Parts: sequence; C-alpha cells; structure tokens
Amino acid sequence: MKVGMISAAHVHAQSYAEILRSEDRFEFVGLWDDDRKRGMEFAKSLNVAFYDELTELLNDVEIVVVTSENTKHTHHVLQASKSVRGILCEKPLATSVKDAERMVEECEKRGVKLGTAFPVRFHPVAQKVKDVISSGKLGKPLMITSSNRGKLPPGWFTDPTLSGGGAITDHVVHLVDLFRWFTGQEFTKVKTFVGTNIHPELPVEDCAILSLELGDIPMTLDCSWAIPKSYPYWGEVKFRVIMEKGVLEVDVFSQNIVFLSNVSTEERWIDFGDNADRIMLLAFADWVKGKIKDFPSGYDGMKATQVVEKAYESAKLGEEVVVNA
Amino acid sequence: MIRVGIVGAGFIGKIHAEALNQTRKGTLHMVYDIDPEAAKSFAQTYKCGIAGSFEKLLESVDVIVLAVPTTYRRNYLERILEQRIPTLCEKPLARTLEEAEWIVSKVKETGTKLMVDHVVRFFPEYAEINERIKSGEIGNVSEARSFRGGPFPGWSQWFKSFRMSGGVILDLAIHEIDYWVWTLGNIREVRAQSLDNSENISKDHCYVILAFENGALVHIEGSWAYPPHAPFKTAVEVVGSKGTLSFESTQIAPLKIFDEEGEKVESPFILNPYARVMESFLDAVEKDLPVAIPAEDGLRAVKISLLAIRSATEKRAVKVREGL
Repeated sequence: MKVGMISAAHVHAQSYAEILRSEDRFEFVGLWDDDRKRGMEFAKSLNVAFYDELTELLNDVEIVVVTSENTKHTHHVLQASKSVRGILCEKPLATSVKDAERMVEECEKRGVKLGTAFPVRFHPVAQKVKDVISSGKLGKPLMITSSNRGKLPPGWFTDPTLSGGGAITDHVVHLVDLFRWFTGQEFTKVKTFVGTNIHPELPVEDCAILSLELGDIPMTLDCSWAIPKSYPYWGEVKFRVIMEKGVLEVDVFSQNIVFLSNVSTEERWIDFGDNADRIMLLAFADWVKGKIKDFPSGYDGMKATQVVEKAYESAKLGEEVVVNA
Repeated sequence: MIRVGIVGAGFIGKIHAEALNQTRKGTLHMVYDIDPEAAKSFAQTYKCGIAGSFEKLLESVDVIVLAVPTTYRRNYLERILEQRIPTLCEKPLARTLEEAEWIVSKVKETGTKLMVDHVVRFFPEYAEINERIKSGEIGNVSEARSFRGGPFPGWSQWFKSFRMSGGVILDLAIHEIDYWVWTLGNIREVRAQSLDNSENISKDHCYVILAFENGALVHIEGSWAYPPHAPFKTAVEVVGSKGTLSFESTQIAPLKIFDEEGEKVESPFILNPYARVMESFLDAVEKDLPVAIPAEDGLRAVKISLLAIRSATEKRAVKVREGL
C-alpha cells in the first residue's frame, strides 16, 4: 500500500515513519511538510523522498498519515480527502468540534476512510481489558479513575496557535476514546479543575483533573504534564475500574525492563511490550481495504474532541457542563 | 497448513493448543492421551480430532507436540523418531541423563527435527535481556540473580513424585539453568540445595548457584513453596560492568484482576511466549531450517540440573568435570 506522510511536526511522526518504512505491507513513498527544513531533514534521516508540493505527494499515494500541528489537521485532511482512499489523522482529530465535523462530513461525502490515531486501543493490554469488561464476568463498571500523564512536550505543543491548547488538548482524548470503546457509552458531563501550576510561564494549561460521567459511570481523568524530566519513561496510561464483582488495575505501558547505568547516573526503562503504533498502522491498512470493521474513525475522533471542547468550557465557566451525547 | 498432533491433554498440552490458536502457521489436527476422557474434553474445548491410539496419531499428523510427563518422553520419542516426525518436546528433555543422551543420539541418527520447549528464551523480557547482554550493552556480566516460582503445581499428581518429575530443580529451575547457560556460556561448578526429594512432595524450594567459566556467578531460585493462591512470579537482575538490567514480573504486569478468587496478574501480548515457540518450530519445519532449541541444548540443561540435584543430595559443591 502506497503511503505518504503529511508533516514531521508531531513527536509521533518518527515512530509511525519507522514502522511504515519497515513493514512489508507499506510502500513509504514520501513526506511533505510546510516547514521545508524540518521535512527535508526528517525525510533524509529516514531515506524517503521529500515532496515540495503536497498535491504531488497526494497523487502518488493511496493513504496518508497526517502528523502536522493540531490546528493544521483540518486543512490537511480536507486537502488529502480530494485524492486518497484513506487518511489516518494524529490525535486530537481537530481543535474544535466544528472542524472535526467538517472533516468527517467531507471524507464521508468523498468515500474516504478517515481514521483517528488512537494507538492505545491497539495495545494487547487494552484489548484484554475490553474482553474482560465485555465478557460481563465481573458485572458492570461502577466507577473509573484514570490518568494519562506525560512530560512537558517540546516546541509547538505549548503554542496555542498551533496546538489549540495545553495538557487537556494533548492528553484527554486517549482515555476518552478508550473508555467509549470499552463501554460503548458516551460522556454526558464534565467538570474541569485546571491550572498552569508546574510551568507558570506557559501560555497554556499544564495541569488538569477532570471529573466526568460516562453514561452514568463516574470517572476521573488526569491529563497533566506532571511527569518529571528525570523520569525513566515517557509517561503513563493507568486506570482503575471498579466493577460490580471485582476491580481491574491497569498500567498499560508497564512491560518494561529497568536499565541502570554503572558509568553514569542514567536510568532508563526498556519497553518489551508489543508496539501499539505498529498494530494500529497495520489495522488501518486492513480497515481501508475493508478487511476489518473496527477502527477508531473520524467520528470517534470528533466525539473525543467534543469532550475536550466541553472540558475547556467547564474550565472557563467554573461549572460542571453537560456533554451532548 | 501444517497438521499438528498434541500428545498429552494435560495442563501444558492445553497451553500448546491455545498457542496454536494464536498462530496461523499450523492447525491443531488431533489429540492423543492415555486417558480417553481427558482426550475427549480436550478435543471438545479445542475443536480437534481424537486419536484412538498413539499409532493413529502418528499416521495422521505432520508434526507432534509432546506434552506427556517427563518419564514417558523417551518411549514416545522412540516411535516418533523412528518415523522421523518433527517434534516440539516439552522440557526437561528427559528424566535421566541416559534417556536424554539416547534421545539426542536418535535425533541425530534419524535426522529428525526436534525442538525442546525451553520457552523462557521466548519470553520477550528474557529475550530482550539476552540480546542486550550479547550486544555488550551492559559490559561483562559479573553476576545475576533470578527467581521463578509460586504455588506447588497441584494440577497433576506426578509432580509430587521426585522419581517422575525430578522435583523443583529438574522441573522448574531448569528453565533458568537453560536460559543462563544459553546467555552466558559454559559453567565450571554448581552448588544447590532443595528441601524434598520424596515421592510425596507438596512444597519445595531450591537455590542453584552456577559459576561460569567466564567468571560470572548466577544465583537461581526455583519455588513451589508459596500458598495456593499466590501469583506465579519471575524476577531477574543481571549486573554488568556498564550497568544492570532488572524486572520483577508481578510489579510490571500491566493488568491485575481482583475477583472472588483473589488476584490474577496478566501480561498480554499479541503472541504469547508459547505461541512464539510454536511459530519458531513450525517455521523451521516449513522452511527446513535448524530448530531454535535443539535436542543437545535440552540434554545440556538436563545434565546441569542433575548436577545440581547431585549437589543438593550430597550436600557439597560439584565441579562439571566430575561429571554425573
């Protein structure tokens, strides 16, 4: 499958690109970036072609992966939808529900498969949790507490004109999508507690805890950039699900070996778990070809964006707000 | 598609059936067990045929997974090897040195593919550590500590019998022995202790200290000493001149399920380690390549385990050159 990449802006571009290059299923045709210097360096490091014109890249590929800055997703997806069969857009799908809806509508109209990159769903741990919850053996979920915290991300992530927001924009969508998928329910309410507490100089929030209702299940979600620089790993996706007949404790990215250097003070965690990005990209190819039915769609991306938008509304009003399911 | 026959419908046979379910290379064709009821319920669960006799299974399949108790392996293998049917054989390769040596010589004589299921090599965390040691990332290994254990394996009676299972050293610590010898090379001396070599074992624990020719020291523990509902656990810490690598399985298990029966810990993968072994074995058969874990490696692990048992029995350190 011929695949192209739009922009090297997002930190996940590197991981996706390495997979697209190494998997036999893909023919990684090339990359376009509105930042020519960044794009050329990235393309060179991966030994793939750099395209000066986006339209030329779009003519040469069947699918594209969009890893541009958050606020550019809409423009890039709409452009790509004119010529490709499938678009995998980095999360968050968009920085407003209005934009997200337009993307979904345009892609639908043109028969283009629009997916949202929610790799956590594809981790075997998440698959197993879904199986356990769906089996009904432990009854229904009664309450959920969750956290997807990370380190302070670099560059444009803290520039609201490019990112659309801070930690809420960056991290809320993963767990929102995961629990919509686990339970088949929609979020109905959100109350946001927020601050720029860790790095007060930032123009965006870096610290937030949300109180939500998923259907009628109470849930918390911590999306802060609270992980210190010296932490030996990128961050965490952790949650606890209180069930009628038991409890699930999940730490999705805990399959790590600890490396402690004896020549410096370095500590590093070596992940030996399956690579969720890889599983997601292979599933995306299958989904575009119609081989599988279940993939996080543009609609799922839009629903996650809706919770983010309402979370900001709650922060602004200082009140709990209703999310229209 | 390679037709797989499983001999032995017990605990480990079921694990192999599940592993086959995860792979696309082979299909579970038939099961054989001396207990027809066990074979029947196995066949119902895993949707495969039942061989009315061992001969019937030999005639009907392309490859065999031999998952019978340790003491029976030699006799089953005699007939399998006569017919040169590629086999994935459970560990330990045999109960005695003579049996293990006989198997290796027959494998060679007949040119049959036989892979020993030292599955630990296929656990991603163990494979990762092996690779990083071999790449020199942590420098020269000075010592390692590794633990493997949990409750006594109460699912089958024969583990209780030292004569049949070889106890906690030959049945459990052998995993670690194979892994460290595979990773670090030859050993020169061994000292081990265990608690019960009787015919009615209900609890045991062992340590096995291996001194390697390259100077590395490895401290292994194998345990059947934990209470019935305790989780099975593994832990490794390996110290090199440039750094250490370590993990403790229950601490890094991503999923903990608490229900009426207690706490279960799980570490899910797309392909579990047994499925990885199965794929490796079936791949070797399909492409006519050497197997990843040959009979010789199985013999070596049995030999060192028996040296450890001798050390524990005679209450003294045993040098490899003394032999058995």
